[in-house]
Amino acid sequence: MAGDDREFLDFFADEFWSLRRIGFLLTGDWGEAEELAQEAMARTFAAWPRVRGYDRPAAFARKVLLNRHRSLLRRAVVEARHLLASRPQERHEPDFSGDDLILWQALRRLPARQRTAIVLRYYLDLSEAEVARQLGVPAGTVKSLVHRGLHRLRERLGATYADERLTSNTEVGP
Amino acid sequence: MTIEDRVRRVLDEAVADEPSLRGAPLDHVLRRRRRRPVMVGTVAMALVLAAVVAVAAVRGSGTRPLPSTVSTEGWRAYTDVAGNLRFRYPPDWRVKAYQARSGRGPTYMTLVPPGIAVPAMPPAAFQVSWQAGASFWIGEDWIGGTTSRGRLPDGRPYLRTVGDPVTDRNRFASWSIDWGRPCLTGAARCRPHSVRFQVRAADGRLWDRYRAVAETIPTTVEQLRPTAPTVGDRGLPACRADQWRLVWVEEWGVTNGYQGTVIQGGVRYRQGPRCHLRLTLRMAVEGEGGRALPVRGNPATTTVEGDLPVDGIRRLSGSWVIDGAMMWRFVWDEWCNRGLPQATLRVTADGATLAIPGMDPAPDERPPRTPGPKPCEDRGRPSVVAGWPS
Repeated sequence: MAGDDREFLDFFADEFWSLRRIGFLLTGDWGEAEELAQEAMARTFAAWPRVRGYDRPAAFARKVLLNRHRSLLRRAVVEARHLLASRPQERHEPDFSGDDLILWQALRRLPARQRTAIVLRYYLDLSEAEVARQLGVPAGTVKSLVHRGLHRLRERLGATYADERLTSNTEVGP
Repeated sequence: MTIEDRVRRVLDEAVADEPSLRGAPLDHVLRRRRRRPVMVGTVAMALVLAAVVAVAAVRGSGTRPLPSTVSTEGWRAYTDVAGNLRFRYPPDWRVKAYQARSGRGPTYMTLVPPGIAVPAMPPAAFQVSWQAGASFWIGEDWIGGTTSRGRLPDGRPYLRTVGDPVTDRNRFASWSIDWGRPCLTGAARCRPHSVRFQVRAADGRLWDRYRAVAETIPTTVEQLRPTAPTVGDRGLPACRADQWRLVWVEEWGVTNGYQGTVIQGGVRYRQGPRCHLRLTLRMAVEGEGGRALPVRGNPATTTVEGDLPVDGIRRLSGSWVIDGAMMWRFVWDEWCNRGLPQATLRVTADGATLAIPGMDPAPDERPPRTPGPKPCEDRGRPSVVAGWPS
């Protein structure tokens, strides 16, 4: 095995699971997430002689995953809906209850671009500029997507959340 | 706890209980790499074939039907009464219907050629699927493919979108066909319908083998019952200016990597009785003081036509519904050229004006050799604006 292949194996071991988790947060389906992560890794491996020189090869793989997810959404939405509706017993869902369940379901129902922006912003803690680069959109669009996404989530949480937000807004620093 | 913190916590917890792998992803990845020389050859051949197809498509574009050399003699007919359609398909292809186990939702229909296994769950390695529905035939196919416009032999317009043979592992072509309005009685809530066919192959070999026959199938589709025109009821009174307003959906779409953008919006119904509206929209790219900037095609125009209120763009759960006869779209390629990102986009129609602020190019603070989309850059190519689909 060549040196760069061994290097890729280390990269795979470090990053595959992270990609799969991002895929799950985007799709809500671990099977699709695994395929997305696998595809992203395959393309990264194909370009590894070039990508290994990057400062952040993981960002390349993540970008591939996001592009793949976006193109699948656009052209296979009918198939995807069908598959999701047809395999309820195979789904591995997070064990949420109460408001967390409402929030999780609301996240799942966000428009794909809003959900993606929120996952990158709050799961990966990327800056708005970095999210913009990953999505290939202007930073203003990221602000808009995140703002609208959070607005919808607040709406879904309703009165309970309104109280919490008030508490948060009235906090006084040390 | 802020909503942001709560979202962070829920996202973290959602992936905390991770199931085991279903497959062997590393094996798959390594196999893909070993096949690469073969794939490069296949891709090169696909590129040559795509170029030939593209030349044929350009020659056959416009209002003429797509040329097909595939004979449909002896083909079977498939009839969908509810969808108001009939088409023909080769007698040795199999029709497979999939129904969601919940019993809800539409049946998913596919056609599979001989020699291809019909799976318990779609997709097959090669398949044609179709669906009749209430979405407008011009959707958002500017995303994820190359779109061309044409007419079926019976004169119905369609959009055909093909995927990128280089970047897309699965090959596909989709046909979105204008299916008119299903009500002939002038019903107030009768929106335009469409029929969509999708041809999908798991790889380039299957694509090359079956595509020509598969893409002949949409050209045979016909209506069982006549429909009303998609443009609406031109016998209605013309809409007054106070009955509608222009809206922008407050998003910029991105095409061509980061170097192209799509501006889309609609016409919203405000008040008054049913009326008919045909609008020619003009989008100008302007600098300071309303000065027209040097962009090819500036100002661009496009036309929408329909009835209000039924076709007016709607809001659902706080977002605009991106669909319908009153949606408009402009594509602006090479918008990052020097002096352009700060432009104002002014959309006008019949006295109404909508000013869309200049876009916000992401700052080029990326360190050298960092991957990701290219920053907004002047590539020395002409900046062009046009209505979509052109």
